[in-house]
Amino acid sequence: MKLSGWLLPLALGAGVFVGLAFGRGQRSAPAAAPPRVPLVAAVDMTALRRAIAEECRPAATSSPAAAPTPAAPPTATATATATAEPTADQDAADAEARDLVERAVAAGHWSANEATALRRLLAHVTRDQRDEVLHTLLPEINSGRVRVDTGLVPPF
Amino acid sequence: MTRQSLVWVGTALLAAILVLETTAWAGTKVSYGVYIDTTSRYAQGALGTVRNSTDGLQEIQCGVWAYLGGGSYATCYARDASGNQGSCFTSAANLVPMAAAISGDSLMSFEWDASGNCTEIGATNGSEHAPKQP
Repeated sequence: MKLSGWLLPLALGAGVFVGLAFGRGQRSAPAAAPPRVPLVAAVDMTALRRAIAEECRPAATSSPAAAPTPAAPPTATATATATAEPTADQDAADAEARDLVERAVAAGHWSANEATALRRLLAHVTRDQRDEVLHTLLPEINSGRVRVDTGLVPPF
Repeated sequence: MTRQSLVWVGTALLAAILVLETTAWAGTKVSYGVYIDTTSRYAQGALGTVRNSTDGLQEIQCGVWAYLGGGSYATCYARDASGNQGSCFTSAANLVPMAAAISGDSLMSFEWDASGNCTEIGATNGSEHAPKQP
């Protein structure tokens, strides 16, 4: 019994030491580890932003279809949509969408009701009309002049 | 070595194995709240981290819309804990699928130009990203 009295802590201590040492060895494999982005709170945010952008970009550009948009030839559908004259219904929806956005910009606020209404209107306008409406609204949001407060509703 | 000593050594080895196993199970965990650079027009965030944040302000998302008459487009929006906002939209054939590829636990990012066009949409699905909590 006396032997076991000092052997127990010694054996446990040795076992824990070996376990920790071996475990640390397993964790450290810098050659095989991918580039690691440090925690947000502990690093320079610019460096973090660049690292994440690099991590995300390959997924966006790995396919052959990932050529820059300006270089991609327009499809027949896109060309037809872009060149087609808007119908009276499309013009009416466009006018309503523009009015909606103009009022939101004037108020500096983008609500759930406005977001829902705009999405329905955008289903009835041409691509050019849709682009123009969103080109009006989004820069105002990005500049902070319009605050998005759509709650549970997607903002666009 | 007595029988009792062998028992103690065996116990020590078992303890060592348990410590080793516990350590090996610990995977990398990284949190990405919403980060927006309004100067370079860039936003990023991990959906799980943002969902689990407690400030009530952070939000990041992309949506894809398609219409029966033809054409589809994607919109993205982000707001950080300070209230900064970033948003973009695109009809580009190579960017719209990227917006749709974002999953519930993705780390996503997007960039935009002065007109609000998306110039990049990225999604990374990694084990280090936090899952959404209820």
